[in-house]
Amino acid sequence: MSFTRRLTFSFVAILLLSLGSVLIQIWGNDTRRRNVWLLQHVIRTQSELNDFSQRMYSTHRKILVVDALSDSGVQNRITAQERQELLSTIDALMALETELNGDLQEYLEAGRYQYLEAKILLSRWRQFLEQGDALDSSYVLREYEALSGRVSANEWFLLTRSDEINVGLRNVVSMTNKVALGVFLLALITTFILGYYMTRYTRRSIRQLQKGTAEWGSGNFDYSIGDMGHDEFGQLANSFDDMAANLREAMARVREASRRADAANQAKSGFMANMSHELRTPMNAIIGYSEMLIEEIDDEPDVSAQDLRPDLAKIQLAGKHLLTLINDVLDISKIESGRMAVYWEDVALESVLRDVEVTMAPLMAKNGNTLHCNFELQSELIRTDVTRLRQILLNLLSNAAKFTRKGEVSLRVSEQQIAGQSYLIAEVKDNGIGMSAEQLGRVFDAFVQADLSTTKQYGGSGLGLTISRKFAELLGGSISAESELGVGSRFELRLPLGTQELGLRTEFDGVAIGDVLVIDDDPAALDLCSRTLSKAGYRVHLADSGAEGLRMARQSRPDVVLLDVMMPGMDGWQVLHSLRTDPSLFDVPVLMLSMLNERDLSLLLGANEYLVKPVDSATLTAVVHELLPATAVGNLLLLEQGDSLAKAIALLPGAEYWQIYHCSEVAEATTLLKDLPLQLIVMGPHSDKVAVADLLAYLSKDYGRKVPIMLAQTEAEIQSLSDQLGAYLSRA
Amino acid sequence: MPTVLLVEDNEMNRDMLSRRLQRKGYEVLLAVDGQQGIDLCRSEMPNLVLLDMSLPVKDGWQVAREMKADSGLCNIPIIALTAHAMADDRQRALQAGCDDYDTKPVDLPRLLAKIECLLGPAE
Repeated sequence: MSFTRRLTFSFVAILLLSLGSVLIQIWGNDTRRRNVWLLQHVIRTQSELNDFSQRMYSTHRKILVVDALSDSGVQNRITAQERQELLSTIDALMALETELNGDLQEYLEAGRYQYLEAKILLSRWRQFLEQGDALDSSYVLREYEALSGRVSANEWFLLTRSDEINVGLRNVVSMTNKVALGVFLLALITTFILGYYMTRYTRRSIRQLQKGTAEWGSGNFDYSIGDMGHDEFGQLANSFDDMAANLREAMARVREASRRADAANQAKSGFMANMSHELRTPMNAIIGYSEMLIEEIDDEPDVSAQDLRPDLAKIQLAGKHLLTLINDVLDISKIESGRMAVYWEDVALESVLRDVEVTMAPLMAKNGNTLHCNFELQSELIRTDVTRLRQILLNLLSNAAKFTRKGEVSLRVSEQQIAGQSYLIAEVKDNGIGMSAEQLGRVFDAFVQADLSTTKQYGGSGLGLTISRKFAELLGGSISAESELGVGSRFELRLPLGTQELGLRTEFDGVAIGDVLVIDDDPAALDLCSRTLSKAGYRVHLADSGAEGLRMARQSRPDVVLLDVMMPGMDGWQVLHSLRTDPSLFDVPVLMLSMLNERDLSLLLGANEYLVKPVDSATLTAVVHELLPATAVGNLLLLEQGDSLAKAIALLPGAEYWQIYHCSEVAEATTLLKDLPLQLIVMGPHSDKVAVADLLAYLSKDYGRKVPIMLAQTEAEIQSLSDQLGAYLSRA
Repeated sequence: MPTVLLVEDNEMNRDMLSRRLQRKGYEVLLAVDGQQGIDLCRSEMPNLVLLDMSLPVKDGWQVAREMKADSGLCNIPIIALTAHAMADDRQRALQAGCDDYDTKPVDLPRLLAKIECLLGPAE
């Protein structure tokens, strides 16, 4: 029963009892009033009867006197006035008798009263007085005596009746009092019982709830209040239980997160200690051997260079090992901070795989392993980042080679359809030492090595698999591993293939957004800038010295200059000075790049922007884009009926750098395609499906390889396209 | 000349350090893992042990504990020589029973000073 119902029930019970009490009171009052009224009348009748009796008596006496006088013969013994008075008295008595008879009949029960029947006597008296007949004294006396008897009898009846009424009255009062007291006591008891019951029930419920909160408060989130019925307390308990369950989950999540953070932290510390160890070991060899060589040269000034060669080779080897370690760590940190860029390109996979096979041959031979390669490729070209793919495969294969002795390692590469999506599957399998389930679970974790002793025995930073998995994820794929201790391991790389119709092809081979001149003496830096910027749609010109850069700039004015500070011969500062003093080049934006932070100096000397190397590609593209004069816009072709996309595009950040050609007819778009150099094509919903399909076919065959195309047919696609465009326009 | 046992699994470091010690006039015995190190101690009774800590088969801490528990070997001084150069690594090495501790990369004059210090009272 719900709490409200219990309360209502109690109130109704108390209310009914009170009502009963009130009804009893009303009844009691009513009965009392009636009895009192009756008593009053009975008493009045008594007094009237008494009055009647006395007046009868006096009249009787007077008549007897009159009769006695008349008998004695005295003439005119009573005056007319006296006679008249007697007659009127007799009339009054007659009226009184009638009234008394009525009263007796009314107030006394049948059989318990007698009619007075005084009329005979009174008529006799009247006759006597009016006509002067002789009075039969004995008869009158007899009548009078009889009448007196009846009066007395009635008096007694009335007395009895008034006693009865008195008793009844007392009974009623006593009963009313008793009932009132009873009702009062009953109400009291009921109230007490209900109150006790309610209090006990409430207290018990609250105690249960309080116990729950106390338990939860002290951290025991597994405690459950349990079922407390369906009333309000039950619901409250359920809510509390739900809350506790949520808290439990939240606590579990927090604990798990904290545990993970601790574990990651510990792993990081462990990794730092391990890295320190790993770096110090080759460092020990490098320093040790070089010190020893210096000692040798000091001791024997004529020692032949040839004698020193083996030790120098060892220094070189240790140095290379050190570099590998450092590169691995840098890769990891780059991936972890999300700065690892991916360069998509169409590659001939077969040749890449053959290359990998050849590269692996010496490592395979070292442990006496045989490498079996099996390639089942359907497409000649696949779109991927070849550097990362190669790195993953080399990592997996060198692991297999390291942990297998005189065994078999196989590399199988194939294209497969899985759930409608085509994948490139590369499987590396060995029959080496394998891993336990516990080692397998952690094999990909960064900063966690399968086993410290294994690392010591087999070398490496223990980061290869972490890096490989991260690379695979960068390419939209995954790596999975299976292994059995002592039997061997199997790693599977899975990369999605195929170009989606909706999406971006971020490579620009077509008309460039602007010309960028890069001046740097470091070929690697030149290469990196060139790749990054051409992919972002710029035409890149490279100069490997300051003088060459200046010459190229004067020959063809670039939109932006990227300038390295430290260069042999003419350094970056000199080039900057020459640019700023050249009347035709003084306003070309210059972006300075250097290992050192000399930002303030460079801005003072006239550079527009300054970046410290190494620069990641996103920053570089963004900064170059910032520096690009507003005239160097891209052309965007928008094919759309209506203008919802056009409006959306106009609002996007970066849209101001684009010249937007909006056409609603396919023919118009086709003409524009032929006439204009386009950097981006956006196609919204269009009713002319056939023409659009033709256009798409034409684009994908002749035009699409050069220009990114974005398609949106549905509302959802338009939305996602807006998001992509937003990222794209502001980036380009 | 005092005999020094060098227990070191890294081939390059073993080669380098042994040659440099020999040039300083020490007779150098070589062991590539912990167990071999203990065996050589028993058979050759070197004057001092240079002990790498991260060793295969039996690691350096284990070797130090076993040697200090062995009445025949407990008098041979041990210098922990390790690339574990974090703050508590020294403590760990000394707790395991090593008499001294030095880090890699090796600072030879410092290491020689430690060796001479430990060998001094014996000679």
